[in-house]
Parts: sequence; structure tokens; C-alpha cells
Amino acid sequence: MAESIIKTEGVELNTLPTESPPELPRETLLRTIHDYITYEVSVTVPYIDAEDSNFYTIFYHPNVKCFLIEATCRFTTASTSGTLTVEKLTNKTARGSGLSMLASTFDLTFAANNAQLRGSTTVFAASQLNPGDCMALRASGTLTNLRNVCVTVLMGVDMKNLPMGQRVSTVISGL
Amino acid sequence: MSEPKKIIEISGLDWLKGISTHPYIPVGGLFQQATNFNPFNRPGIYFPSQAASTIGTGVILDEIRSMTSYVSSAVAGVSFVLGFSKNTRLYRIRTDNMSVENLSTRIANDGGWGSIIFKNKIVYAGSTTLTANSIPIPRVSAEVSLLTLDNAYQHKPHIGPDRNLYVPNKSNVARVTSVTGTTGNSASFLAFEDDVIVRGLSDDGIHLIIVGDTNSATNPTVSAVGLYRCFVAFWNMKSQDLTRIWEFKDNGVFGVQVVEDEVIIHGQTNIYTCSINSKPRVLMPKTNNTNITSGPPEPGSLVKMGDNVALWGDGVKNIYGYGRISPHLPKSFFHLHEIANNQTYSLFYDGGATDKLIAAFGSAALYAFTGTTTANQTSTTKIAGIDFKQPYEFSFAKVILSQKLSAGQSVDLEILTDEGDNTVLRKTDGTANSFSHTNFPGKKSHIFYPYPGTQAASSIAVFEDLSDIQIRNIGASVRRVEIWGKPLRPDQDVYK
Repeated sequence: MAESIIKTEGVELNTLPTESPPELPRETLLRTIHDYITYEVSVTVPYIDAEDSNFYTIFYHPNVKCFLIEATCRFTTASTSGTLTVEKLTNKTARGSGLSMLASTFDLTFAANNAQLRGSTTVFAASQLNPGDCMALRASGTLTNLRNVCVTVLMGVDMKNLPMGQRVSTVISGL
Repeated sequence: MSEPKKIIEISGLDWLKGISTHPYIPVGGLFQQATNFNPFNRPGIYFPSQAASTIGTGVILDEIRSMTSYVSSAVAGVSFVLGFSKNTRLYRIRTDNMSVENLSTRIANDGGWGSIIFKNKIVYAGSTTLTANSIPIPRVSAEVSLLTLDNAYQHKPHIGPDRNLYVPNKSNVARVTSVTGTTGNSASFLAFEDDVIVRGLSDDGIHLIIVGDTNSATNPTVSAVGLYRCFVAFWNMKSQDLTRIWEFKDNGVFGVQVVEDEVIIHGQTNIYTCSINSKPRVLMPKTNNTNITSGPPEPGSLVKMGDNVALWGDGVKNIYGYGRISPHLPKSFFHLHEIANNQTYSLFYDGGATDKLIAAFGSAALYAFTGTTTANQTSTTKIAGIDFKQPYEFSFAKVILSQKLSAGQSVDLEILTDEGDNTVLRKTDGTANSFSHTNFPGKKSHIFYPYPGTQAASSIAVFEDLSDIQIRNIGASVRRVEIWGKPLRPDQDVYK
């Protein structure tokens, strides 16, 4: 019986599929396992304050880059008219002058005690917050009879943007 | 006198090893050439690909650039393929009988830059327009404008993991959420630097994968000189920061495909593989590599055959593939089809029971490769060079089939050494030594002895390496090929 001297299996063949691709360091991979994590920020305009647009105020001022994913709103008594949105206020922008962060506004005449859900705006930049930016509620129209407005915003933050500790600048300056 | 020994056997999984990255040594694959060979048609058997038949002759007036299918609501159980050209032309291919109709009067906007079914509409891109239309395309225009795009070569749409539609739009990625108008759609949802051109989109189930470069030339006339910043980016579609961006240098990129966990990037000088956790590395070099042609693939020719096999046209005359049909098999880089003297513009793979591939080529040619085609296709494989480490004298070669030959079928060999300068076994095509149905009807195996006829001056029986082992297969099912030789004393030089 003749012996096989070289079968093609014995030559270096098709090594690529069996190779493990070189991966990133474990610490880097750990911080991107979930890519981004989510959290919620909630704000309430209590009882009769809900009738006065001055009580719709800044409610979140992040230290790290983050983004709005969606928001819900409900109230205990509906208004006779008006709308409500969440606005993005970049640094030095006054309340009421920002870009809406939602795809559409909440209807304040909607049935009381019923949740409304809105996605983020189609203007991508308006859904993103950088350090120094903040979020505020912006009510429009007449708010007669409106009571106990609660807005909860689902936010996301890239794992890689989560701070490892206090900022170097504040440590150095002793703040 | 020593006994002959088997020095090479190509069988079983060897047929799945695909194209080698270099012609001189089998690395990353076995063959330096393997035309018209789909190794997954009959795994473990060397069986040529389906043969092509021309369809739509006289109806097709120009090159179809993108194809999308839908199930007819009017003709029960029949799927149609809509093919868009770049001259505001639309063709409809009926997949049960492969008849072709020209429906160009039903559209006013171009669709040759890419098309897709999204939210029960056919969405198609022109150079500066993105349009939605009803399915089937009505006789009275129902076109709805979704976006105005920047004039660019790549606008092939892709549905992201967030179920929105994304479109490459020069230095931006456009996003479409609505197919009833422009409200909610953005032509520059994600913006890159001004000098970036987004060339293609895909996804890994979590991220939108974006490839682009900074070569300002328009594909496929992208300048072949110089290196530019190219990148593949992974984006979660929520954050302003890309989850990962890998940069690399190439002349330009033409598109991206995903095969299992691998991201395949079509570059000018190389085809790359990477993932979100691993940098791009060369899967197949295209420069100075005779194993593969280096033409840029057209956006419409990047398709999938099943979930795990990517197909693409090389922009010249070839259709290549990479992947595997089952995790139990190795991945293979293969040369599915070769059409003479044409350019691949778009492909459509029908993964249904009939296993059809429709391919649009230059000169308004449209081909159907179907499982029912009975014509015997010719496939030619050539093994990459092999060094035997000692001298041998050729004894014989043997071919074993899995089914005996039928009419019109044949298997022929040619074995060369010295980079093709000298012949060990003369080409057997058309000779009495040919393993053809004409010569040997009903035979299942064949031994090729050195042909006893007049030997050319370049013939040689002694070799230490074989540069070209060529198998020409017309319609046959080859299970095994063996080459036998007599070992010679190592202290023997080879002159010729």
C-alpha cells in the first residue's frame, strides 16, 4: 500500500478561519460590553404649580455626554389647552430658547392619568447632551386646570464616557 | 526501481478550501484559480456551478443597478424582482418563468442607486432623490419623495437594527423613519467630516456598520494611486459618539458585508475582515495577486446567499463569494461565476426552493443561474504551487467521481512545473487521454498516464515542485483527485 507523502491537509491551508482574531484589551472590552447603559430622570410640577409656565424649569444638568432615548408624561388633571416638551439648553442658552428633544410635543389636553410616550427628535444633534448642556421642560399655551405633571426621561450614556473618578482639574484645584 | 507513491490527494473538505491568498503557496485557501465553482453546492464534491441562461433579451435596454423582490398580491405564489437602472428605467422579472417586462413608464424618479422594501413600500434612491412607491408599482404614479440627497455614487439603503432606514449620503448618513413624506426624515442624521464619503452600510444586529474613505473620486473610477484614510465605524444609532471606529489606509473602500461575526470590507487594494473588537486585517490581497481580479464591486452587486455567505461582483466579469452554509464547514473564498467580457452591476439571490441567482451585467445583459439548468458548466481549478521537498518522477494521476459521467461531461488534467514553463502531464482536453463521456461512457474513475504521443520540448517527468495542477471539469461530480510519483534520490538535480 502506497503511503501518502503529502496530502494537502498537511500543507498550510486555509488557516484564517481557525485563527482567533486579536482582540482589544479586556478593560476596553469590559467598558463596551453593553455599549451604552440607560437610566431615568424624572421631574414633577406639583399640583397648582402646573398652571404656571414659570414652574417648568431646568431639571437635569449632566457632567458627561449622554442622550435622550424617549420620554413619558402624565398628569392628574388635563389642561384646557397647551403642549409640553423637553428642550435642550446648550451652555448660555436661556430657558425657552432651546431645541425640542422630542419627536413631537405632549398634548396637555390629553386624558388625565393616561401616559403619553414620545421618542427622540429626528434632529440628531438635539437629542445629544454634552457637559454644560441641560434639559428643561417647556410648556406652551394656556395651562388652565392642569395639575401634577410628571415627566420621566429615559437617557443613555456610553459606557466609555462614564467617568472613572473625580475630574483631574477639580482635584488639582482642590474644589 | 521504487514503487509509485501518492504525493497529493485532493478530496473531501479540500474542495471547500477556496482561493489561496497567493499563487505560489496554498495559504488561506488551496486554489490559485477555481472558476465557476460553488463549493457549497455539493460539499465535499467538486461540481461546477449552475450554468447561466440569458433572460430579458430585447426588453432590457441598459444595466440594472439594483434588484429587490416582492411577493405578488395579484399572481398567487409568484415573486417578482424589480430591477432599477440609472436611466430612470424599471424592469420587472417574474421568477417562475423568468419573463421580463419594462415598467419604466410607471416611475419618474431614478432607482439605480439602490432599492429596498421598507414599511410595505419600495424605497429607491437616485443620484439626488430618495423615493417611496407602492407595491406592486401602480400604473398611475404613486411616488412619494422622502429626501433630497447629495449627489454621490453610493446611496444603497440599509435597514438598521433600530428598524429605521439609513442611506449613505456623501459625508452624512441619512435616516428615514417615514415613507409617507419628508417629515421625520433627515438627510444628514449622522455627519462625518466634510472630506469623508460614506460608501456603504450594514449591521451586526446591534450596531449600524458604516464604511467610508477620504478619496474624493467617485467610485468606480476611484483613483488607483495614493493611500487615503479609510474607516469602518460601529454606531449604536443613539449616541453622538461612535462605539468604535477602525481606521486603515487604502486607496478607497467600496462597500461592507457581514458574514457571521466577520465584517467584510471591500477595499481597492485588499478585502479586509474585522469585527467591533478586532482591527481590519487582510482577508484577500487584491494588488499584484493573479488569484483574484481587482475591480471595484458595484453597490448593487453586494448581496447575501443565505445568512452566512456573501456574494459580490468584482466590477469586471466575476462573481465571488465568502462564507459557509453551516458552522460545521470551513469558511471558503470562492469564485462562483465567470461571465466573459462583461461587468457585474447587480445581483439578486433567491434563497427559495429554486436556488436562483439573477445577475445583471454590462451591455444590458441579464443572466439567470438556476438549479433547473441542465447545461454542463465548465469549471477550471488550479492548485496553488506545492513544494515536495524532494525530486519525484511522475507516474500517473487518478480521478474518482461520485457519479459516472453523463453525455457531454468530462474531466481533464494538466500538470505543470517551473511556474508553468515545463509540462509534467500534457493537457488532456480533446485527446484520447481525456476522461470524457465520449471516450469512456459509463466510467466512474480514470487514470491519466503520461500521454505517449509526441512530447514537446518543454515536457519533463522529474520535478520537485508543481506550480500548476489544473483540473478542467465539465459538469462532472469529482470526489477525489490523486497524483502519484516515484521518489528519487535527493542528490539529483533537475535540469530543464
